[in-house]
Amino acid sequence: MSSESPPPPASEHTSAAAEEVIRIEPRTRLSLGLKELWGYREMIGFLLVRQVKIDYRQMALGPLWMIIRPAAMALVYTLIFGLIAKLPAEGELPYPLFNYSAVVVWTYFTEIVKSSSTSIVSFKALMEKIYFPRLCVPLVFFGTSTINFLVTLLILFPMMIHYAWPIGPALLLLPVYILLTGMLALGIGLWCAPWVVHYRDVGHALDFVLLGWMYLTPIVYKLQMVPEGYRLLYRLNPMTNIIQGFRWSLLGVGDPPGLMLLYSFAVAVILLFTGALMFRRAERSIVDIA
Amino acid sequence: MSQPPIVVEKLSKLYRIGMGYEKVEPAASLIGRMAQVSAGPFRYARSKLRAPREDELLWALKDVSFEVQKGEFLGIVGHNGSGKSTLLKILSRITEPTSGWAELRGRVGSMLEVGTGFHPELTGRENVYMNGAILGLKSREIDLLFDRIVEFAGSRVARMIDTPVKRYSSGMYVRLAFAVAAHLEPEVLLIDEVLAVGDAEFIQRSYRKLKEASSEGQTILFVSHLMGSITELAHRVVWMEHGRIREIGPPAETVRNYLETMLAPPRVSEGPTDLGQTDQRLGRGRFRFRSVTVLDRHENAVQEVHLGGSLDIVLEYVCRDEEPLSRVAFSVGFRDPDGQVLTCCWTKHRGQDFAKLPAEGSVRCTIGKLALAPGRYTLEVRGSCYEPESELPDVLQDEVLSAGELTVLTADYYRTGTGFMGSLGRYVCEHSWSQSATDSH
Repeated sequence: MSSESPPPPASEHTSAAAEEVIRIEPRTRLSLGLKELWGYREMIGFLLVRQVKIDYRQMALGPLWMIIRPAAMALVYTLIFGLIAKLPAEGELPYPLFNYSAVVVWTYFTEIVKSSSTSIVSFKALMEKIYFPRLCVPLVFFGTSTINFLVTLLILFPMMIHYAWPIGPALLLLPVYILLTGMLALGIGLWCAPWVVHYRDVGHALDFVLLGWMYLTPIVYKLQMVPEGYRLLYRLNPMTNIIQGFRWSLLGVGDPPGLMLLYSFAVAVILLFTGALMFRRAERSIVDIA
Repeated sequence: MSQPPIVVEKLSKLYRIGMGYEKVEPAASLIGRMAQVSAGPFRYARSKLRAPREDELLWALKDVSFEVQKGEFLGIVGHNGSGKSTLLKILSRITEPTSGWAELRGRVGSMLEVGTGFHPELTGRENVYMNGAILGLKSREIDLLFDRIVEFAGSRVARMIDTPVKRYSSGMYVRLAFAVAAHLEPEVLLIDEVLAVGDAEFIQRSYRKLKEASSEGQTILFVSHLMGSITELAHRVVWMEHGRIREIGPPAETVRNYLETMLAPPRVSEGPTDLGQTDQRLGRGRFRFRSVTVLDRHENAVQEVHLGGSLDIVLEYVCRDEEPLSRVAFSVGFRDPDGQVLTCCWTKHRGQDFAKLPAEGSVRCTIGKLALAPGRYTLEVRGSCYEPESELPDVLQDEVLSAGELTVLTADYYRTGTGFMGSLGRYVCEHSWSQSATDSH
């Protein structure tokens, strides 16, 4: 055997793993540690499946809740804003469809923000006892929220059939908007996570911010109702462009992809990247504080 | 030759203790109170953001360096707060060191405190798989080990393997956790003080397993307060003190040295226990105890003595009517916190009643080798004497049931490197063991 040839595959418990060297020292350079994270994909997958199970384990209605929540929200909004306040939906779109399509995206968004921002607190017990890259946890929540979101989408299509609303080829872009929402939310959640550990107040404040934010996003009303002069300012809210795009892709109303969507994309990428760095910076000392 | 699986070099960890968030007395007026409350967050933020004062910093670990060879079993001993657990936390990457570094070769399994790495909502089975996944095992590999793990953990755990672990007793938790840690066969195993919870049979089985593992090449770091097991299992022992390594060497020797000083200099008492003012006493009062003093063998007044140590108890008394006393008897009893008097030293037992005593003076009781188990004891003293006017041969004159406290510290009583703990019993007795084969004619 020549010296260049790769070593023969060793049995699991001997030499192959033995060469894996873990160096423990104070971190001086910030890195995302993505390579290590990839090494833990089995664990992320495992936790993801289990977390979904846990979510449904002690509930009689199980996964139905994932649909009931946004459906109830949409019902309330439809009653208040559609029937009582008589807010118009965009174009010919029936109000419930107009509203529900945005509510599901918003629910997805808030769910990720909340779960990832509290991910350290909720996994504290495990983090105190065993090592794994801490970023696994927000990623797991990202995954479970995405699964829940896909479940809520399932009743959107029957709704569309009910209202006989056509589906176009733009639907193929739907995953892009979903991914964009997820990235943005995860970025915000990662930014907040270290703060939630230090100051539990941040968690409460976040609820209010999210509530206010929802009304600054065209969910119960259409973008056209915002005065012309403020509309550009309005679009600086990255969620506005995502919701508009999501509606366009699914229902054909709203805005096709454009410069503002690119802007939202940039915001999401920057927040996600810097948020992950912040999280990594904080993870060194969270166990000592939490 | 390959590198040692654990290399630790000048590892240090600085903690900031006490957040220095000063308490503010609530203001009397509503306006004042409102101002205070609204200033609260700023005060809080300031206390967190300012640079910590010197006394708020604690080096939990300071310049710790050592190496552990493949297959070596390293025991770690030390007081609470000596840095043992911090060391293990850093090595298992739960927390990051402040300076220095360590290198571990191979997969690292750790068991820090009870229930290591278990998710309470998951079942035992799921937790086994999750721990495997964290250690980097494929689920197929865990399948192969699963039955052995459950078998090792015992039948009670086996019955509840599909129940969320939050419903487990702490014993079951430890059983399963240990079974997982031991069977997933990491190259390096870090264990912190967990086995104390299990029952004797399980602990023995675990020790056997650990021994087996280290002889098969697993490197083990083991923190324990159980000196016996450390001496038995470890190849070398690290003795930690105030975040540093005080000594590292062969188990029996290091443990003995550790026990001798852990048994630190006994606390010196502020002097004799003054009984002059006590009115919690019985007896006729012809004489009263004035003070009780416990002296060590260097004649220092102490509150703490080592098991097996020698001590003197000095009782100072004074008579009511400046008349000498005749046929005086004294006793000193040792009462445990449950109120049980464990033993008593009495002049009558020794046939040493004092025929004549001056009106003021002291008597001394000498205990050569204290055989009371470690713990806290209350001293009770009694004195009686002959009274011409009484028909009784002996009349109680003074009795004080709380005449002082004595703490017996654990020590290597038998000089074998094993400290005798209070949980093992209340007395220590001299004994030896021998063996003989059954004679069958």
